[in-house]
Amino acid sequence: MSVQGIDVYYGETKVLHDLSLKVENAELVALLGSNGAGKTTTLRTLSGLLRPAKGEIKFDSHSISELSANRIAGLGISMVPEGRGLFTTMTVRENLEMGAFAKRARREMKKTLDEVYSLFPILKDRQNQLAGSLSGGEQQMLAIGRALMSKPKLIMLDEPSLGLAPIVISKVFDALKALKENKMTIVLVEQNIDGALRIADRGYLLENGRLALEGNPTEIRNNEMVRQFYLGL
Amino acid sequence: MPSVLPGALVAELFILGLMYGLLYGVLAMGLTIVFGVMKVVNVAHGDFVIIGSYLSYWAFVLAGINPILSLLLTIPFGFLLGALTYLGLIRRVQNSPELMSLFLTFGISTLIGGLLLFFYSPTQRAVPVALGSIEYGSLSIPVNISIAAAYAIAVAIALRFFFYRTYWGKAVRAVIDNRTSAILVGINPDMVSLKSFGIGIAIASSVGSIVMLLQSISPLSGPDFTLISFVIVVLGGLGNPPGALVGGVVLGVVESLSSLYVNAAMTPAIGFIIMVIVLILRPQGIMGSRG
Ligand SMILES: Nc1ncnc2c1ncn2[C@@H]1O[C@H](COP(=O)(O)OP(=O)(O)O)[C@@H](O)[C@H]1O
Ligand SMILES: [Mg+2]
Repeated sequence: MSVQGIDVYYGETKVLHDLSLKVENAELVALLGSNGAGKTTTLRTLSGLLRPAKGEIKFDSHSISELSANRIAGLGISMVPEGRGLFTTMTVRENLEMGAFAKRARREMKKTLDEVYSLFPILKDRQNQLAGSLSGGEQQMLAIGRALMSKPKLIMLDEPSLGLAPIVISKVFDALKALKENKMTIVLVEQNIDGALRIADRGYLLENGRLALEGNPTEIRNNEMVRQFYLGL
Repeated sequence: MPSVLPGALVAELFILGLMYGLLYGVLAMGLTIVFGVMKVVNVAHGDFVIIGSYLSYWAFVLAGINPILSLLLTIPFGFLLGALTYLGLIRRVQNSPELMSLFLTFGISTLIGGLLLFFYSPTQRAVPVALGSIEYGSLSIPVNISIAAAYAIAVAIALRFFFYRTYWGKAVRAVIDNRTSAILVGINPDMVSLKSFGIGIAIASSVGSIVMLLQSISPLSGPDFTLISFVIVVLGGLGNPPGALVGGVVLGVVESLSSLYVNAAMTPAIGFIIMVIVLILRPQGIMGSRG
């Protein structure tokens, strides 16, 4: 996926300024920044929920900036939205089934379901419960599981650690690491900079809708501004 | 008010109320599905009932077809009409402020009423089929109302099957539950809206066939059905199909039993009184879970 110089507005307000980034295959890229930096807006734009006013987004060398969000999902770009966005009135299993809506995923639904259950066994135990009745950590696993049901080529996660206990966070990050080792391409949005940099291959830092910094985890960690303002060292 | 209520009378009114309530509940399910999926309040819902009634009326007059049989006509016709109305009109306003869709469906309602008036005059129409009553001991239940209840139960079961057992039905529930997430898993919301509007109108016009067994209608009877559906939808919780069925039954039973105590002319007010009480005590509706 490559993003070239996009501007994104909410109404009259410009929120992303000339943003460019790149995600290579099988790479885990962290998109970092404090609250309000524009991380969610970036993901919403990449998934087609928002349209860039300028610039281009390419996936598999095709431009996707003009496609509707459901078409983009069909191409294999899957998003775990901020706040998880589960179908709370549907069961765990139904949530996972809906994850496989895209045509190429639906044919293999049974098989993928087994894979997701083996990644998160707790979801199998809870498969007939309503998604809304799960604990926060289980909900996050379900949200990730649902995204995986589409057999995505690229999965984007918006603050999966938000509101979770530390022990649950490390479980979620372990799962992401396992996905990465299986050659999944991942974009991980986090305010938890330290945790994200531990599993990322590369990172981008957003400030006020602009790219402030990019590099590998060591470069970002050693940046003077990051040390001072984000890591509090 | 009788000093001692005869048990058989109360039981009979209860059963009649239940049966009417099922039919109105199913009609309201059509309205609430449309609202749940696309946040459009279809003010023309009742006018689509009347279109179905006129279809059945003319099928009877011209070809002697019993209104029960003309369900085979009004169900697919209603689906098609709904799908076309969605494609031609509703689709254009579904992402606009809700007032726009309210104006549009109000316009559709006026248009349908006007066209029916123009072509068929304001004459009340009825289908003269006498179906009699079934006697159970001291209870006497009219056959036409029993048919209405049976049809309502059949539709409720069919909808239940569609929503919980078919993949597309689950996709409709997903859109009702969380539209953005549904789009993010690749569900085309326009496709779901098209089917939902088709289903909603198929329910309305097929109920129109059943209505021909129960009462006479005129071109301007539509808004009565819209109003009662609206009350039920609010009772059951907006966008909650099972809630609509429960709301319909509650309304039907309460209205029916209230006839023991209040003048029949007051009956329509009962619905609004229950609605106000529910809105005060449970603003999310009888079955609603989210605030
Ligand atoms: N729906 C919206 N309408 C208007 N402004 C918004 C909306 N959502 C977010 N914003 C603004 O856009 C900026 C970026 O927000 P967001 O992308 O949510 O940041 P982050 O996810 O990094 O916390 C913030 O200034 C926020 O106030
Ligand atoms: Mg955010």
